[in-house]
Amino acid sequence: MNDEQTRAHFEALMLPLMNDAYNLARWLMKNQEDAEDQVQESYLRAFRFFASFQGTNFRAWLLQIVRNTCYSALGARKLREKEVPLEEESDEIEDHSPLPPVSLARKATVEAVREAIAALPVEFREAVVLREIEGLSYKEISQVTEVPIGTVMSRLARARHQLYLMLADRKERDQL
Amino acid sequence: MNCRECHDFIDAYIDNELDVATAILVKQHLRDCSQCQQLLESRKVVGALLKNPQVPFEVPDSLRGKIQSALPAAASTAKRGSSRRSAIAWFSVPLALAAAFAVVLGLVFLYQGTIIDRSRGNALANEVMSSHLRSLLATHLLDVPSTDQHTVKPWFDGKLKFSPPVQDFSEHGFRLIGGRLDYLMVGK
Repeated sequence: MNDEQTRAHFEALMLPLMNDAYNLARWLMKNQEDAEDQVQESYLRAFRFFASFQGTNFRAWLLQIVRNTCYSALGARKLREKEVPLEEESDEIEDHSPLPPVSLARKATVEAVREAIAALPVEFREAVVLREIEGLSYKEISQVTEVPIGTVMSRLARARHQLYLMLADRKERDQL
Repeated sequence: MNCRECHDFIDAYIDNELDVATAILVKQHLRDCSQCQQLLESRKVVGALLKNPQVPFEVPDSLRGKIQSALPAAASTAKRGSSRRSAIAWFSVPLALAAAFAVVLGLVFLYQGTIIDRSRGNALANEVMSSHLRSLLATHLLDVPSTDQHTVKPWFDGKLKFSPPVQDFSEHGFRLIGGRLDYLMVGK
């Protein structure tokens, strides 16, 4: 395959995934400009390794690259390594206090939902974005985020729990 | 199953990621436990809020162009029309008539692993058609007859190294009837 074909093949397979790539980057970087830069950087990296990629799941592969690129940009990897042993895998959900009523959360606006997602710790945020917005399976999320499926599951549980509390509380505050 | 186990499994339960046996246990527990029902309800509310199509961000229009100009200039991008897509368009009509969408999707993903140009794309389309006609003649249209995405997808998952997305096109007038796995030799 010559360069031109490689390029055409790359564009045909990878450019349709731009939406997914951008959304993950947008949620990780939290602003448009940085997200665009990181998506662009990710595509360059993907192109460099495209010929040697052996798998078939190009979307998970690209998202993994996006995620790692964003993490490098955020310097979050270091941050995360410091945090993890303290907090991470100790979990079932800690508090079993009664949940705030569903009716309050149900009415949350799009802005409120976006803010709540943005307020999550990064590893919960990426899990929930990959699942709910990108629609990945647990296996794919595990591949993209490089953690076992059990960890994916507990991160999702905690992310959703926190989102629920934030969204239900917010409504209450707004009403006051 | 007790409440703690139910809490552990509830996310996998709503995400259809549990094996059938455990899913049944969760379901049974939920039937009898109002506290866990509340938890389920809270998860569903969060899920519904996140599924709002306005939550994801729109890609800025300029990004595609930026990426294309940033990629190493390997001559023209005249072929941008994507041989992959034209091949799909070529064979999706007859297949769609047979309402065998999962087949298309499954093939598309197998297909991604192969290197193609237009002529190979046509060869692939021919091969897909032939397999499909054979399956009709042998009255073996489906390996997994099911109208449920969540049955068809895990079925593929068990057969392949990856799990192809199985989408619901019923609102476009094409009902999911199941999936079939075909083997293609093109491009090898």
